[in-house]
Amino acid sequence: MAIEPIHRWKVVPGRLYDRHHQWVLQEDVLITVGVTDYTQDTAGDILYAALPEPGTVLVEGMPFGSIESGKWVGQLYAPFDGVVIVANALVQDDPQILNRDPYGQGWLIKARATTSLENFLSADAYSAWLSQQDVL
Amino acid sequence: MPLYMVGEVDWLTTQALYHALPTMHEEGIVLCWPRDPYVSIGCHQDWQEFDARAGLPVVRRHVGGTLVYLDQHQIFFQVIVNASHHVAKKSPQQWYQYALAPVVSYLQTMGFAAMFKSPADILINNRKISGNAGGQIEDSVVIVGNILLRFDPEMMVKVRAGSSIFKHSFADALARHLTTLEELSGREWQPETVMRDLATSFHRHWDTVLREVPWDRWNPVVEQVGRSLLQPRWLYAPGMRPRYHQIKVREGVYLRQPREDAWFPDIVAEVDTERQLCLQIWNLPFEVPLPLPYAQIGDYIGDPHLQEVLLSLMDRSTSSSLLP
Repeated sequence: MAIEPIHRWKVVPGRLYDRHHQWVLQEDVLITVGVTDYTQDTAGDILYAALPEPGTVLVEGMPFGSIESGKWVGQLYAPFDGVVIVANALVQDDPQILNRDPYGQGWLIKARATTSLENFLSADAYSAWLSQQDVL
Repeated sequence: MPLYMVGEVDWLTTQALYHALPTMHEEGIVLCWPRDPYVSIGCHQDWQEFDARAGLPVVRRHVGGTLVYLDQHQIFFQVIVNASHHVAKKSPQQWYQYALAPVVSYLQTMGFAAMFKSPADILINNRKISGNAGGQIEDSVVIVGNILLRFDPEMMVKVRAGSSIFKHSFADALARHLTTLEELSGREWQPETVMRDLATSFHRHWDTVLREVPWDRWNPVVEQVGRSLLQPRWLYAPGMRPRYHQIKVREGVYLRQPREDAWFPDIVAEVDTERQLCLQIWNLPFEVPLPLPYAQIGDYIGDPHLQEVLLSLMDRSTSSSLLP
């Protein structure tokens, strides 16, 4: 029986998640990376997103970009080793799309990974972890 | 939590310190001020917003916010904490409230009606006395800010790029929205005394431990980090470019001017985005009652282009562009 989450944030099934509140979605060789509803909600109105150029090398756990809201700069962390193929120009032109549609039009980058995605959380596991975090 | 009463140091060290502690995976509260004036621009701010004719040294920080003029008449407090020790704090607002509580408390102890103004200001009598910024650096959360002992609005205006009317309007707005300890009390404040009393307030709130500054251990990292903040590729980077020229005067109050290729590019408006009021308008060809609620713009402005320009400056555009 599924356990109802006790947090208020949307978690989309069929994607993988990391503990930096980012999601990844593998489509053939490309992996799309974005931020979760938790990130956009706790950040507040996002005013700017600095995203990497195509060809940028990603190193797992290291910052690959940043977002700014309310004089606050939050880091975006590479979920895997790899190379950036494309960054979402729509997010750079209209950063608040991250607030409106973090799982859809507000994706951040598409990249090729050179490490596996086996340590990521499933949607259910991420949701359970969010619930734990929310009660702390 | 260690607290370091660093005191007066060179201008670059005041910025390098709070970038260096996260690199060394150290927590701490740093209290300091710069020996000489300089300018600090925000992590994502466009370099073009700095007026290099001012002839002051400039650095780009890794935390948010916009360009600030800084000098020896301001006390800096820098809070560097390991985020994993504070998992219940999720939003920037929670971090700001946490980090600024000892500062608000210090000002209240001095007899001022200081209050936190979200997201990141401290106000006294509705005027800003402390501006703050924050973010993540390495594994740390960093919140940095200042208390104005004395402030030179002319220098602040000088370092901010913009037309002469924009600079004039900025000076006027600063005079109405900023305050200093000296202005409030009518006496001079010594930075050493403010630092000591601020340290007492941090101790009272967080049970901080006063530590000698370990310069021998810190210096190599502080110097290296300082150099990295001046790297041309980092310093001169482009960044945020709102569809109008904009300066935040204090939280909720902005000075805005249309860009050069817009209708009525000489209009400058001071807007209160929270109360939805236009507080001042410069270069308007006729007079209107001020403050003017956004909703009444149409009642006093007949020209549809001018109406649209003003509504756009208030983020209430009826079309997608300020362009003619």
